[in-house]
Amino acid sequence: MTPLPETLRHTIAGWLEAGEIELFIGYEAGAVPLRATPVFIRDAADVERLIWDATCENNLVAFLPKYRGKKVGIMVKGCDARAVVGLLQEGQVIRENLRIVGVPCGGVVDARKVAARLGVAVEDLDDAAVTADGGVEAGGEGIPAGEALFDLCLACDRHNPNVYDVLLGDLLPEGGSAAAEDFAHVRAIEALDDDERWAAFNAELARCNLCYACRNACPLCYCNTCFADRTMPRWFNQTVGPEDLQFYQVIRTFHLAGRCVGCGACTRACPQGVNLRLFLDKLRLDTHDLFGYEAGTDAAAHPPLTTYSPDDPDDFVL
Amino acid sequence: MLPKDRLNDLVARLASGRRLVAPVLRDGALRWRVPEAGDEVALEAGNTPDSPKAALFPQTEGMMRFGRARDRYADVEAAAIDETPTVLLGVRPCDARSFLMLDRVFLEGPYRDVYYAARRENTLIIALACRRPRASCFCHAFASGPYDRSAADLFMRDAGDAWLIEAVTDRGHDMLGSLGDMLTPADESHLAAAGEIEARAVERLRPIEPVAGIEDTLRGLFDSPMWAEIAEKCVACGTCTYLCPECHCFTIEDRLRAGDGERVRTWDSCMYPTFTLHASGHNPRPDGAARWRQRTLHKFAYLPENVGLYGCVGCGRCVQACPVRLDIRDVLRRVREVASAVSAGAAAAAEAAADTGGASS
Repeated sequence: MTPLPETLRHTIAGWLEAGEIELFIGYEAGAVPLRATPVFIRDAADVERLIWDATCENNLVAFLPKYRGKKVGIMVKGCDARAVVGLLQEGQVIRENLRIVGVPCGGVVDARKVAARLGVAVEDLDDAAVTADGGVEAGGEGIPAGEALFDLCLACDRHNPNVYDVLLGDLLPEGGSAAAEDFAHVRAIEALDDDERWAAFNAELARCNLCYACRNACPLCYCNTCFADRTMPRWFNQTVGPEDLQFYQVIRTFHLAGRCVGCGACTRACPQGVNLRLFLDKLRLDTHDLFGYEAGTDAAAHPPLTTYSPDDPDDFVL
Repeated sequence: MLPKDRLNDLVARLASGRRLVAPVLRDGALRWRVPEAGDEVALEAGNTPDSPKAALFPQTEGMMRFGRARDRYADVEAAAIDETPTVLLGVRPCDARSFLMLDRVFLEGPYRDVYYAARRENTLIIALACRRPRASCFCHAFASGPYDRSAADLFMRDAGDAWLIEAVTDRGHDMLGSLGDMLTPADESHLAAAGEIEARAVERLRPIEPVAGIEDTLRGLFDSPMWAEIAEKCVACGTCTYLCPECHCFTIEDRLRAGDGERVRTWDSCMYPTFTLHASGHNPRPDGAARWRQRTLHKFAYLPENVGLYGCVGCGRCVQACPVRLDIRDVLRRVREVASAVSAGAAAAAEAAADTGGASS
């Protein structure tokens, strides 16, 4: 774990002392190796607890809607920042209320991947430490970043936050848009025929136990009452029958059409290892192909499904 | 004693005429399953991400079916009670102990749960000593340990190239007798090897404060602001409760279709806002603080008071799987800290009051 630099701690403490914010949401070291844990700082003296390194996997923006109307400081990676922009676009946060520490991020460590590679349980990586380049040293073995980071991070070429007040470290070289992503994992599914695709979808879902970690970790899933929690009407049952799992995941995914910023918080949160990113990336790709639009890039833009243009594609209209 | 390379023979024997449920590694995922052809029972792949509780208390189970007749639902048919003879193979001692608490809730209270009871009566538990307790493990906080035999019918432990198997209950004894032709008496060298492995396992346990007495510590903290502080980083998913071998709250729903329907029982979670939502719209546990208080008090105060056992066995799954690393051991530490601060404050106040009393008299 790496404490924040002195100057940055000073800045955050200053925000708290001056009343510019009442709360700073950041990361501190956790009990589980290679995985930092969110921390909520209200007292300027506690800024010492704050850290930043490649173990800071959570997208803290998921907490922001809980503090609507309050002045909050927050730490964001490149993808997290796009979620802030998404919330700004949808009027869920007010920019003036936020103090944002942006972090150019080279990717975060997938502890499960590292553990699997070493053949031990995640919690047994007691002596593991991240290296400056995002790799991991554990059990006397060095694992390069290319084998230690989340797949999503390895495919990411937009490391820099697009909204921030102060920056931690230097901006990283990057590509710049969804157009640059190859979406190979989505193309592979698209290439299947209907039956194979349906089978692949259900095989992925079969692991889901309907715990809602994906929804609750998602920064754009902020509905006061989710359709899944409605009891009148009850849209689906709380069972692990395939029809209920399909209903929940299909509706949640579609609710994020044109809104998902591709941060991968859902996939990282899933305790069962469901590759939720696959579903959502299909919609990100469609949004890009149909509307030339990418969520979370422009705070002034209207999400495509909230606006109409005569040029909108209408091939689906019979 | 059974040589490890004969595990498949044991599996085949146990599965003959019975449903065998065991940790199976399939497509890279370790899960409790009925092994199918080509599956490998994985006793040495570490503890399972899911607990085995679903074998006795499935996440979703049908209770009855009903069909539509004219303008009303009729033709009610109760679900069959599952009395299939079952063997659970490779249950960790912590997970095995979880069934003792579930027994008290489902079998010994005023309502006997027929579904659980039928499965429990027909299930034999073959526990497997825990060779590698993890950093997240805290069974020893409950006066238990990785070699606790107390909830097993049969108990297996690692002896290097063989498994040592011993009977704990009468049922286990009968089963062991029926396996007699596969087993050989354990020799000195294997007993010694097993002893060494056990010693190494015990060495791995981290120091931890015993849980005993925490129910008294929790008394008086119902209105503490500590609950809001604990809940702040919780994202309110139900992962901890679904992976917990002890959590047993359920809900009952009617799955309605055009012409028929089914009443199902499914796991529920106290972390969900709908868990206590009243029909009126009122929710007596309106926020994360109230829900975390309930989760903690249920496990560590109400259950020990009501059924005499904690609602936690220290398996550590909630610690491992929490998306924000909210650690139940930290919660208990915080409970003790706050309680001692409260009692120190109360003592100081009493002293101050006594002083004032002395001055005025």
